[in-house]
This record gives sequence, C-alpha cells and structure tokens, in this order.
Amino acid sequence: MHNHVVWPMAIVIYLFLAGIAGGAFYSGALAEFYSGGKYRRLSKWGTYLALPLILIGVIMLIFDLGRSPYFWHIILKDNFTPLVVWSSTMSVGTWFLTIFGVLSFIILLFWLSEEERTKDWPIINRFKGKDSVRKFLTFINMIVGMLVAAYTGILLASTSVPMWHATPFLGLLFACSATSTGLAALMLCHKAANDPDEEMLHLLGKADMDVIFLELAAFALLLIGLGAFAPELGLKALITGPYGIAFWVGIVICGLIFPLAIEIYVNKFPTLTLGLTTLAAVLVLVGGFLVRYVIIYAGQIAWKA
Amino acid sequence: MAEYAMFIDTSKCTGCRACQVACKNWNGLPAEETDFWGTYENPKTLTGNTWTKVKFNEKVENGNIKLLFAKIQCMHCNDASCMAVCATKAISRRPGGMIVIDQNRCVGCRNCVTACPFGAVNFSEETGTPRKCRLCEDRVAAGLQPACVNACLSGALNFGERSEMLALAKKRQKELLAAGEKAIIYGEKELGGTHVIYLLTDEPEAYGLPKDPEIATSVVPSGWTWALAGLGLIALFPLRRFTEARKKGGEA
Repeated sequence: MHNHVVWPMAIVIYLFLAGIAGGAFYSGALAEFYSGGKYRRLSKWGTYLALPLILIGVIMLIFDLGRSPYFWHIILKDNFTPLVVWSSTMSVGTWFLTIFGVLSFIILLFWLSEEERTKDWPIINRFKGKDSVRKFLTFINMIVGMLVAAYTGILLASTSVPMWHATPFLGLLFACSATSTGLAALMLCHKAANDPDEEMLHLLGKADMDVIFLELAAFALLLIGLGAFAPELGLKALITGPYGIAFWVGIVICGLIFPLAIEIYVNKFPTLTLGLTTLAAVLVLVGGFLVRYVIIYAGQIAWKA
Repeated sequence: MAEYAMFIDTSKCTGCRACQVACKNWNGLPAEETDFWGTYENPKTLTGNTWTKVKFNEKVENGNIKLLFAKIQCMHCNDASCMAVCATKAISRRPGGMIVIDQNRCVGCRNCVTACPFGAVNFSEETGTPRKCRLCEDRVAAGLQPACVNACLSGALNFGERSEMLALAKKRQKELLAAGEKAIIYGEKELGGTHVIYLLTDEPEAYGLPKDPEIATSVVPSGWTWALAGLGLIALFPLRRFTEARKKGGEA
C-alpha cells in the first residue's frame, strides 16, 4: 500500500545491534551465575559489548525519526513527567531500552574499576570491591536484556504488515536469534582477548548449538503459521519472492545450518577448534543480520505491492 | 458533542474525484507528480499529501468488467491501531469520533504508518510526520460538512450523526437488495465500529478493504507469551551448559 519502505535499513541495523547487546549481556550474565563465577569474564565482555552497541542502536533510531530533536516525547510528556503507553510496544520497548542502557552503564563502571588502566581515574574507585552490588544489578539487567531482545520482534508484530502480524512467533524468533548472535559475539571476544581457556569456547559453542536448534524450531513455527494465516504476503513473500535467495542461502544455510554443523562437529572432535569456531560465530552474526533484513524488507515490500 | 460519521454510498459514486480535489484544497495539500498507469485513478496510493482518493476497482464478472468506485481515507476506527501503537500519545480520539494526529507531539517514528490496516496513515517528508484525514474536525466544529462531502455531486457522500448515517446506510441497503443487487454495509462493527461507513455493492475484498480487519496490537499478548517461554527455555537449557564448568574446578 506504500510507495516506499516505511522502516528502512537504520531500523534493521538497530534491531540487529539491540539483539546482540541484549543477547551478549544475558548470556554472559547467566554464564557467570551458572559457572559459579568461573566465567565471570563472559559477564564482563557482555557488558563491554552491550553498552556501545545499544548506544549506537539508539543513536540510529533517533536519527531515523522524522523529528529527531523531539525524540524525548517517547518517554516524557510535555510537562517532563514519564510517559508509558501500555498498548504501545514502541513505548514499552523504549523503556526497556532506556533501563537497559542506564543499568549497563552503571555495571560497566563496576567492571572498569577492576581494570588496571583506570586506577588513576576519578570516582571510579568508589565502584571497586562492590561485587555483590554488581551481581545484583547484573541479575536485574539480565532480565531487562531478555525483554529488549524479545520486544524487537513484538514491535514488528504490532503492525498490519501481514508477514509480521499474522503469527505470534516473531518475538520468539528474534529472542532466539538475539541469543545466538550474543553468544557469537562472546566467542569473538574470546578470540580477540586471546583467552587460553578453550573449554569456555567449547561451552559457548555448545550453548549456541542448542539455541540454533530452538531458532530452527521458531522458524518452522513461523513458516507454518504464515502458511496458515498469510500464505501470499507472508509465506510466499518470505521464501520465494525477491528475498527468497537471501532467506534460503543467507539465513537458513549460512546463518543456521552451516554454523550448526560446525558446532556439532567441533563438539564431537574438540581438538579442532579456534578457526572453525570463529567461522561459525561470524556466520551466526551474518545470519542474524539477514534475519532482520529479510523479514523487515520482504514484509513491507509484499504489503505495499 | 455528537458522535459523527461519514456514510459513503458506493452505488452512487461516479468516480468524478471532486472529493479528492476538495480535500487538497481545504487542507492546503500540494499536488503530486503522477503517472498514467492504465487508469484515471491517481495517485496510486494515499500519501502524506493525499488524504483521500477515489479507488477505481475493477472486477470481471461473467466476462464483463464491473467498475467499483470507492472513496478511501482514514476510517476513524473505534479500535484505532494507529492510536494504540503510538508511543508519544500524539494520536487521540476527539469527542466526535475523529482520530487526529497532534503534529507537535509526534516524533515521526512511523509505527502508525505500519499499523493502519487501511494504509490511510502515511509519512510526509516535508513535515517529518505522518499525516491523514481528520474528518475535517475544524469544519465540523464550525457546523460545516467535511470538504469532500460538501463537494460530492452524486449523493455518494453523506455526513452527520453516526446513528443517522447507519440508518441511512441500512435504508439504502434494503432498496438495493429489493432491486436484486448486492449490498454490504462495512464499518458498522469492523474494528469496534468506524466513523466512515460504506455501502458496498460487492465483497469488501473487491474494493481492497480487509474482510475481517484486526487491531494491530491484537498479537501482542500471544507474542510476549511465546517470546518469554522461549527465553525461559534458553535460560534453563542451552545456557545452563555453563554449569559444566563447575566440575572442572574454581576460578580460572
């Protein structure tokens, strides 16, 4: 029904970055808690990833607005009191995003206080040695991060675009994809930090393997749902249409099957690792980007035609 | 203030498009560059600068082409998707039933554009905001009819209290049915009742109107249920693999 794409590339990139930010944060936090503190550094890396990514994402969102200077209207009324519109996923999600950004910033200060190079910085020492506070905030922000990861899909669903609205599975799919891309980002941190603990890398890969299985199930639900409720503008537009190749080759093969195969293989033969796991992580990130890109563009273009 | 509605009797519409011109005129909307695309219908869609237009729907029936004219614009729904998704509360319902976008409050996120089931809310590059029909709120407050209704020569457009418009629609439906024609009322119950009511001479789909429109937010509760269930699974199974690290000893 429209001559142009209403939500363009800036939104695709934002949804992708917010997914990695949320996914890396809560995956890192859970890794810390489940490992009894042994993988504390995954929680740190998650924080170091989350804050810049969410900031870049929010800046892109603000620049994408038709009236950028008034962006604060989304969270504040004209009299500067907070505004929450419960029926609006955009409103609720922006609050999740705001809380996630603020908490990630505070948690980042706790992590920075542990770094060698910050010992001369002002104020930062006040955050030193307060790990129980940091853990408590991390637990809260872990849940907020999950809500950030999920709302991005639900935001698309609360429209009249048939591909997005016809099924309730987009939030589930985006949450799975966010977790997978978050784990992939943590794997690349492992590589970038030259971390000697290969066991940790294996566990990240194993966790991602399970998440990809869930993501495949979410995709199956989505396709079945679209087949039932939006066969033309949903299913056909996604799996054939102008984005069909990007869907099958980009998302399904390169983004899901290929990294899954690598992770299963590495899991069986743990002696062969680093290079292959890095490749799997990069493929997961490319696939995660394409999930957003294809669904956002194919959905809108089919709708307006 | 009374609850108002526009009644569009498509059986009387001749496709003259005077309504389209009157709307541009009253609202000071610029002309658009258009293409000839095999029909006199233009522009192709509603836009931020075209708030109403006559759609020239064609249907082939028994080897003949049936022309189904219908003026389209914002339906001013009771269950308004645009209003439900708006994060800034820029979109509100006026006492007369009109759905209006506060151009000073809007930030231009375009969620309403994606949410409208009728494609009636569209972004204007000039203002950086979505713009649409206001059911001539200003004229109605001054006791006038909307500009489009005022311009209609054929009697296809009517405006008044919603109950009266509905009564008019039903009376006309009876006449057409008695004459052996198809007559369907659209907008009485759709989306909680709309403030634009159609009398259609064919199925809604033949006019490009959604048969059972849904409010955009209808999928939000089930969407959250699935997403949170998925995240719960992720936290309980895949990520719990990190407990395996404990077996290998303490702080690395």
